[in-house]
Parts: sequence; structure tokens; C-alpha cells
Amino acid sequence: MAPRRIDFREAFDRWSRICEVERRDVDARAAKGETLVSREALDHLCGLSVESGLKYLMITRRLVTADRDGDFPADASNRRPHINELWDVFMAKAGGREGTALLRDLGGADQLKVFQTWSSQNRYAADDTVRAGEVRPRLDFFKRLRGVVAQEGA
Amino acid sequence: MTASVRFDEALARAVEWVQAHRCAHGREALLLRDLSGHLRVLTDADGAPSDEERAALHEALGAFSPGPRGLWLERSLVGTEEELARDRVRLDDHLWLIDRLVTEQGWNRAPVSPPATVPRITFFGVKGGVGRSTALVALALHLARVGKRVMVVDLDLESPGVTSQLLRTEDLPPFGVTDWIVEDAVGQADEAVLEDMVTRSAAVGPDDRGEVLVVPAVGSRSIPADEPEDLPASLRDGSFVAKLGRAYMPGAADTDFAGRLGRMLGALESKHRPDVVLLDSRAGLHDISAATVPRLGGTVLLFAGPTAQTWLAYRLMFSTWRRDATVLWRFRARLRVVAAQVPEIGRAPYLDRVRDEAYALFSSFVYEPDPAAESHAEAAFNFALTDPDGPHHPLPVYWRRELVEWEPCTGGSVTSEQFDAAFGPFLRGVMALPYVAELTATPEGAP
Repeated sequence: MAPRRIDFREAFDRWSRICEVERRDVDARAAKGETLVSREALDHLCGLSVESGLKYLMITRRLVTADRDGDFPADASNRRPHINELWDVFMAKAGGREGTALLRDLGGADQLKVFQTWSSQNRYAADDTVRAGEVRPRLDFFKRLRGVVAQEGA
Repeated sequence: MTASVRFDEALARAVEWVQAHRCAHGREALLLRDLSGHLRVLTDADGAPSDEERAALHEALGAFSPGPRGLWLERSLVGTEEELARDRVRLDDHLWLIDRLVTEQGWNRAPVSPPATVPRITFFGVKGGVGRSTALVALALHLARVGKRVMVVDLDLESPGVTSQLLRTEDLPPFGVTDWIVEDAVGQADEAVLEDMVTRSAAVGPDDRGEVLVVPAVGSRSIPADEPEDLPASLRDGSFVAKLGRAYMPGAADTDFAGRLGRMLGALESKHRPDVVLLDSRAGLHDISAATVPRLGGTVLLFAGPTAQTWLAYRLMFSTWRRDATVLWRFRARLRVVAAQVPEIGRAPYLDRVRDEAYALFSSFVYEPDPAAESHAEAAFNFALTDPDGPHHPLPVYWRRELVEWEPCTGGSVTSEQFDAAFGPFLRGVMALPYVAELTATPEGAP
């Protein structure tokens, strides 16, 4: 059976459901003054969610054209960007009023800094590799992205 | 304290860096400046820089660096070679810049319409309030008198003017250009909209052989009304601003605003079959003029007076094409300067000043300096200062008091003698322009 085309919206919905549960838990714990735990796992979950959502938006808003597998186009070395590079690619491609509107909805150009230090290698990282101060703005960006994706319709 | 790196300096530093390192980083260098002004270097797969190089350029660019990690991007991640070539402008041999702008001002992009089978004449002034729309109305009425079916499209969306000279408010059609745009955004700028956004001007007299069809910027459905009509006042109020505020949003089928305007004009021309189309372009360096002047085809009349502010603005506009002369080659033969509001006293020195300023502009940005240049096969595009056929040589529109309050749709108060005194030389000049004369010629002969 031929593999299904990649559907980044489906991927985003899947990852974001779990990430949203975790994000709410983080908020609840923070309200009680508890320390953020399992930061590396949460950070990885957040990165996967945002990567799926941003790729979905870039394809939907015609900033990129998906390849024939529905995947985000690879570079000349057949490498596809993770979220740590994806924002730079987004910024390099966004232009005109539509691109500007999307950038505004996503929180502006300062979001550049949020994921630049995210690393796919951290999925196996030891505790305390990722700082709480890095995870919090990524979760905030996730929350904002979730709202933008929701407005794209089903 | 270290001085901040400013916008222009950042680009200069990036260029300097690329020129110094170009051999190490690929055949053809591409710089990209994003929406916020951050600069990036686009490289081939094997063009990744060392950490030291990243750090050096990051420091050189100051606040216009996106950070050492984002300074380099592999070009294939940003777009196909065709996409990358579309919007780039040349900075130097083998060095190009892709400049992402918030506005849809694709001054350097390819035309969206070929030189039209229906002749189009764009009325443009880099400064407003110079009598551009009034001159357009004069040409429309003149063409109608000699039997032409003229379509006037009001593209001065933020400040509709030509419409009210040709149509009384009560005669407006239901829709206008802004309605077409918002309907098109959801894919339903259909035949009904095209039909209901055009109406005949009552300014054309019963003895005139032709007619003037008007496509207003604003339709009657957007006009505030005291009496309840088909829509309640609460829904009419503010609806024009609600439409205008969405006018520059790209549509589903095109990637930019000029493409949408081109599609709208094509559809209107197919449906209503005019002999000639007159476009009243918004003044200034705006998304609309970035479409009408270089990209929609047709003759472009550049309205101007002798003031320094006008010519500085034109120089800013024309300088966008100096980086790539081939862009200007597409339409330079269709440009013509118009001396606006030539005063009743001191006409000759006024016209001389406009001509001299226009010649300086065209010499700097349009004319090829060396007629013997072998850069291309055609003869050099060059005209002498006093050559009446040069596009810099101004066609005069004479100022008259009677024209200040001229509203032909309400009957008007301008006699044919006054009309001829103000517009005669201008009209004869426009009709003699090569592109206009060719496309408006009829078996009976051009007017």
C-alpha cells in the first residue's frame, strides 16, 4: 500500500492535543508556585507541535509548495528544517501584506529568538539540559500558533 | 559608545562581506532582507560558513543581523531558482538582493498584462492635486465625441475623484472597484459584479457619437443613505472603509495586487468591449501605482509641475529601476510627461522648467547615455532636450479658473472654447503618441 501523503494539519492536531494538556498543567503548577518538571520532554513536544503547525500554515498560505508526498520541501541535501531553522525560513519567505498579517498573528519578528536554540537532539537529553526560561516562551508561542491554525478551518 | 548600524549601512556591510568572500560561497551571491530588515546570505548546500565568519558578519550587521544561526540559509530552502529570480534586484556583478516588503509594491516585477489589445492610458502623478483626474475626464469626453467607447476606471481608491466628475451620486452603479476586490477575495467576482460595477456617464452629450463607461471606486451600496434602501443605514455606514481596508489582501488565485487588478481589467474589457481604457491611478509611491505604471501595460502619463518636491519624488521612484535597466525597457517607450496646471501668466518659463527637470530625470534613469552603446541590438533610447517627441517633453494642460469647479456630469459650466484652451494641446499630444495612435486608429481615421 502506498504511504499516505503527509498532512501537517493532522500532525499538528495530534501533537497539539497532548501539548495543550501539558501546557495547561504547566500553567496550573505555576499558579501554585511549583517548579516546572520534565522540561526536556515538554520542550520536545512543544517543538514537534509548532513545527507541524508552522509547516501547515506555510503550505496553506502558499509560502511554500509541498512536495509530492505532502512533505515540506527538502533542501539540496535532502534535509528538511526543524523548528530551530523553520522560523528563519519563514522569515525569509514572508512578504507582502498576507505574509505580514500572518507574521503579526504569530507575534511578530521577535519570535525569531524563541526556537533558535531548540534542538532535536534534546529528545534524549538529561534533566536540566533545557532551562525553564526557554520552555515558557515556546509554550506561549505554541498557544498563539494554535489560535492561528484554528482560524484556518477544518 | 559604538555607533548603531543603520538600515542602509547594514546592506552596505553585507555587500562588502559578500564581495570579500564570494569565491568561498558560491557562484552567484544572494542577499535577502526580510520584512523586519534583517539580512541573510543565501548559499548553496556546500556554502556554509565557519563559526568565525558567522560571528564576524553578525557583528558587522548589528541590529540588522537575525543572529549568527539565521544569517545563512540554504537557498533551496527559501525557494526554487525561478522564485528566487522573480523579485531580486541586482546590486553588483553576480550579487543580488531579494527585498521582502510589507506592501505589494512590485516595481521590478514582470508585467501582469502584455501591452493590451484594448489600449490603456494610465494617468499618474507622483504628487496629488495637480489636475490629473480632470485631464482624464477631458480626454474621456474628447474620445466619446469622436465616436469612441471609453472605459474610465477609478483606481484612486483612497480618494475617489474622477467618478464624481463623471457620475452624480444617484447614478452610481451598485458596485465599484472595491466591491470587486472583496468579492474576488472569496472567489465570487462574477458576471453579476462585472455587470453592476459599470454605468454610462451622463456627461456625454446626445450629439456625441461615443460613450463613456465609468467603473467607480465606490458603488452605491457603500454610500451612506438617510433613507432606508435595500440595506439599512447601520449596515451601509462604514462599509466603504471596511472594503478598502481589505483591498490589498492577495486573492486566492494571484500572488499579488497587480495580478488582481490585471485580472479585473481583463474581465471588464472582455465583457464591456471598450475601444480605450483610461485608468486614474492613485498618486504617489503606492501599491496601485506600482501596478499601473510598470505592470498593467499601456501608455503612462506622468503629471508634474516644476517644484522640487515633485522631481525628488520622481527620482525616488525611477531609482528603483536603475538597478535593473531591463525592467524599465519594458515600458519606457510608453511614458510621457504632462505639465500640469500651466499658469495663465509665465507659461513659457513654466514649461521650460518642467521640461528641464523631466530631461534631467530621464537622462539619469531612462535614456541611454551613449547612442553608440553596443549593449543591445536596438538603437539607443535617447532624445535631445528640445526634441518634441521625447517622453520628457511635456504635454501642457493649461490652468483655468472655470475648471476648478468643473463637474461635467451636472451639466458643467465650461464652454467649448474654454475646454479647447485648457486641453487642446494636451489632447492632440496624447492622440499623437505612437502607441495610442496605433491602437485607437479606426477605418475612419484616428481623431
